[in-house]
Amino acid sequence: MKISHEFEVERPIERVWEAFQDVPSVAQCLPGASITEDKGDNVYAGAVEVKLGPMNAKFEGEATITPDHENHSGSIIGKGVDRSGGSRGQVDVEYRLAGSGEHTRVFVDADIKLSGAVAQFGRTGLIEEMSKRLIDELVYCLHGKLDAETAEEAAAIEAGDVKGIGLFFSSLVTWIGGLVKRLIGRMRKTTP
Amino acid sequence: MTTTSHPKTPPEIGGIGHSIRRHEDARFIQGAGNYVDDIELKGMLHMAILRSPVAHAKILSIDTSEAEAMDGVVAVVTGELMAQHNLAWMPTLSGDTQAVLATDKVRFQGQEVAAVIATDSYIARDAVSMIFVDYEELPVITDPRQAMAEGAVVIRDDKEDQTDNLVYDWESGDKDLTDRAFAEADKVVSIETHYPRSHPSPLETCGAVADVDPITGQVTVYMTSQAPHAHRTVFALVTGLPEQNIRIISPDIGGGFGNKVPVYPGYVIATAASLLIGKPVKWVESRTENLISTGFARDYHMKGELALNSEGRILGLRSEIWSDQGAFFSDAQPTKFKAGLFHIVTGSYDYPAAHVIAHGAYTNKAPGGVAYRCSFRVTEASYLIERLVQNAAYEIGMDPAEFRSLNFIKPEQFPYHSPTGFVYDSGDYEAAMRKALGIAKYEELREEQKAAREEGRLIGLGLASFTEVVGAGGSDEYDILGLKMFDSAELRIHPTGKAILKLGVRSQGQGHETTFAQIVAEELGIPVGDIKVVEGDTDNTPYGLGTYASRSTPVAGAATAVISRMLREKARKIAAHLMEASPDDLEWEPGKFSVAGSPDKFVTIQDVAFAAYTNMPPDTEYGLEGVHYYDPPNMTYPFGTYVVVVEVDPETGVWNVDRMVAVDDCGVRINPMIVEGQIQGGLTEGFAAAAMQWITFDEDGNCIGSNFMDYLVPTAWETPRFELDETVTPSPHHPIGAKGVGESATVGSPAAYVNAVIDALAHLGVRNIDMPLLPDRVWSAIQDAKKG
Repeated sequence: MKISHEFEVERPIERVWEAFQDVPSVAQCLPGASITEDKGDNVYAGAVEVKLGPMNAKFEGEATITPDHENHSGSIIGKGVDRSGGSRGQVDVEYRLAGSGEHTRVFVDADIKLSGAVAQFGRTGLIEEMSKRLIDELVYCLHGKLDAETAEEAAAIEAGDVKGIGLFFSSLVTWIGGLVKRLIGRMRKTTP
Repeated sequence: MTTTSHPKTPPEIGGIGHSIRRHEDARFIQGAGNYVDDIELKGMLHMAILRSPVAHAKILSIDTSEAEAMDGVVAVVTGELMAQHNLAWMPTLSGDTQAVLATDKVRFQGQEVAAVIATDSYIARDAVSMIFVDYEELPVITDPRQAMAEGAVVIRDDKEDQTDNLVYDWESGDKDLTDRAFAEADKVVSIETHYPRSHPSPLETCGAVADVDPITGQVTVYMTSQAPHAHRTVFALVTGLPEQNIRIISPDIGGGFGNKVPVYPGYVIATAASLLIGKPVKWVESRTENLISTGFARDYHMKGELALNSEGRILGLRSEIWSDQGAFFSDAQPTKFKAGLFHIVTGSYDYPAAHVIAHGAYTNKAPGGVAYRCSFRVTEASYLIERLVQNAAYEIGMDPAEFRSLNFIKPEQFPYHSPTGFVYDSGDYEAAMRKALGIAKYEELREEQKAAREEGRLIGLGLASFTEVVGAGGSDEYDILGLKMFDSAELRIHPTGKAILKLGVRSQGQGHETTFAQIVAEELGIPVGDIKVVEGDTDNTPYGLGTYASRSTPVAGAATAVISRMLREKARKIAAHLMEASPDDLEWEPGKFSVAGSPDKFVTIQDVAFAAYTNMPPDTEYGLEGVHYYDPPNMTYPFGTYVVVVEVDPETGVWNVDRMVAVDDCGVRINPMIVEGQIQGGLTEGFAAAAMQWITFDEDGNCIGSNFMDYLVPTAWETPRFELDETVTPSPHHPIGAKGVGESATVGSPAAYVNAVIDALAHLGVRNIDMPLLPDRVWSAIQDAKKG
């Protein structure tokens, strides 16, 4: 499944790029993600925990993060296995920053490959919606860190607890909301 | 209740034609059924299976140490362990091999990789998640045509001679004759469509309790089996155990629909585990396991063409199909017919030429190809021809009903020899169609449709005039792994005149305990309540091939009638002895023999039964018992016409069924109420196929449709109301003229629903929408048609 997102951070590109290099800090901002070990050579061990409705999956594995400092871009290749539910996940992310004065636009192209129970959950629209929510949370949290006065303060900021049921339902609500809006639009059109 | 019947027996005997209530329901509606999961044995252990999360991968390693260390875990079984006992692979009912537990590779998502045996089922499932398997993923194939493309990865590299993904090429009919028919045609109508992968999804999932006695070597397996005797033989062949020591008990079954015909790895692993551990082992699969790993149905990519002359007569049919067999070829079907009975695709119509080519291919999907409530691919065949016929009518500019009428096989043409080699037993297709059209008020509906179109409303009338072929089948052509497809009935009449009937088939909800007792009641006049029917225990029933393909009534029902008649002839001799008359002078009426001309002088069947054990004529054997193995001289050919009226919302593509009229002809109806129940169930399943059901896979081979949120089963809310009626054309070769009905409605109705939606859009030029007809597909078809 290919998912593309872009978002804006109200900071100059150098500042954002610098923040991106602190991998444990970025991971802190991604709901459900954690880094357990820096294995060197850009390889990190960690886990991503997600809850999709009735399903709880904790993907444990490794990620290789390769930054391209010159072009303000990079790639993340991650692989994880959820042992309890028998699911597997593989993610291949390309990201790119584009600065414009005090603003930076971040483009993310992710290729997510899921297998096992999580992938059988045939609501692709919902998974996409959920990934958008995760990114929204990431951006919100990053802003907080960038705004922090001290390093200690920045380190204390982490993603709010939007994972779990809450995230699932808010995604569901957004998804259904979209359907309802379209339906109402259609009714308006067809009602004389 | 719309069907009429004229029973020959009074209600107190309750023979054929009485809508008596089902005997078995007394226990079912009180929650007292006895299903596999109800079996509890002393010291019983529980098994859970670890399944592959990926569709195609090499197994690099399996680490079971953490699972083995858990409290309550007795053993972890892997393919390696099974291989040490030569049980890692097993034969399928189609003569292929299937992995019991994967050793080298996994070839579909959900494939069995390891099993945990534990003291309770929760521990077993928890321990499964502590087994760690390292996979190296391989390219995935999810379409049979992709499987046969140049350079496709070979899925079955475990088979020495397999160099591509082809399972079979098979054909039927006369190619040259058919090519000539097409060369002479004024018009050729074609269709290309997919009958999607579906699943029988019975209420009760599959399971087994294996109980091996380490001292006597007796193996008892309680199993969700539609064919316990055949399964016993397969078990003997797979395990090498002596067959007399194997007892398969198929207790109450909560729905089968073909899902419980194959032998699944879970049964074999549970049995092997019980054998190794020396304790009973229970395995019951979860809903998701049932949907992703046990026998799916359909998944046929079909092309069909009809050659027509200018008057609208069909000259010939050509068809080519691609069958997606999944990773192992485990269709349950007669050995000789690789594409099942798909060659019945010529349908209810009379033309001299037909040619059918079928290809089967391996893919990285669950194996199966079970006949979901149909006689081996008859559903796919019936769907294709009925869709073709409807489209042909549009192209010729005829009404679809009149086009059918013009091309129907006529009553006087029976027995009818079809161009693909079937001999249809009997039928009056015109009469069934006229009756259905009359009930629906077809002419008026066509007027309404016209008027509605003026207002921008889309109403459609869909027909299907199906012919099925059921009751497999005669020993000259039909066998599964060499076992001929006869079936059996053993009837014992006790001294007090009560009877026990033992059958080789197995009911899964069809009401055998009632209908088969009614056949005995009809033939011997013993009240139906005095007859017990026993099935599903191989130690206590005669050998038979089981219940599927609507074969119980055509084959075991015939065996029951024949053995009843044989015992009646013996009873006649005993009656003659009791009345000191000549057997030839006796007259029979249900329940008694009387002397011709003096009706007051009679003995009852109960008198005779008592005498059979107490007072026999000198030259006769004691007892009133017997067994008969019935080898059907031909298949039976139920038929009917279904008329569906739908209205399609042009803005959303949502369609609703306004009417569904079903006229079925299944020959003589034994219990009309049960027959109607079967038809209603089938019409509901047909609606599900047409409207909502499919199992899809993403490009990585993930099965989408692993739960009832994604794989939809219609509820009372969605299910249309059905208007049922009948015609009765007895089968000339069946002892009681019955043809079987379990599957007619599933086979015949999908095309009727789809044809109705197509008919609503036909004026826009729409000729096909693949099933299921989800609103977005219908909406897209409307938009595409408008764009031209």
